[in-house]
Amino acid sequence: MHDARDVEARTTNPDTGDHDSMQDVIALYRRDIDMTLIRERLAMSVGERFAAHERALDLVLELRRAGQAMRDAAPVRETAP
Amino acid sequence: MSDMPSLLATLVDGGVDFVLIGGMAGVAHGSSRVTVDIDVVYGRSPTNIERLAAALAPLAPTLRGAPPGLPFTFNAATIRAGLNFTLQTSLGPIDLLGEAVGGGTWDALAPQSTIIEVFGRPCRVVSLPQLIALKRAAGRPKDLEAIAELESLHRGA
Repeated sequence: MHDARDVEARTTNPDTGDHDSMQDVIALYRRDIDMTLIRERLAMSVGERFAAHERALDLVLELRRAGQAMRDAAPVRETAP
Repeated sequence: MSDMPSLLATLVDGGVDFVLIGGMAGVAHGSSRVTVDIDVVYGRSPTNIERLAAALAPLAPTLRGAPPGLPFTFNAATIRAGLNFTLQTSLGPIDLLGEAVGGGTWDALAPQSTIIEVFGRPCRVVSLPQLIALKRAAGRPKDLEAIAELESLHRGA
């Protein structure tokens, strides 16, 4: 149960103070943001953030390649659930 | 320094039974969404718990978001006493799940998973239908767009 102030806070753009119906949606998304990851990132220097992101992208690119190889090896199109 | 490839390799080289889930699994299935953390479901057998502890202990895992100074020792006893761990390691963040929301245990996920070769190492990845089911079960708004894309991939877009 939310009181009027909660609703007002959720529907007010924190930057402009204006009523903003998108704030409800943004608040829903914000609920699931892993703040621990954000704090870890903020503790890094900008250079460290780039380096960490680059290594993460290395894994992303390798997983894309590996996944494509898997699909090429067994190109079975599954039926949607 | 965060090093996701090495973090994943540490689990594989340690002989840990795990299934890659989450955004990285989505990438393997063709998702265009870029993610920067690793989520795995690990087996809860005593042997596997020992392997998991031995593999990650050298990386000095700590609980992400725990108050500074909170005592935490990552060993087999800790893993047995818990289930899901959100960790920060010297190679980056990793979420270790004994069970993902929606019944995602190792025993449930492994039989339908696929082994792909990642940086020359075999890595078990959750099946696309199961990944969709896990994200649906999690019920997070931020997953909705990902589910839409994964379902498109599943239908062969």
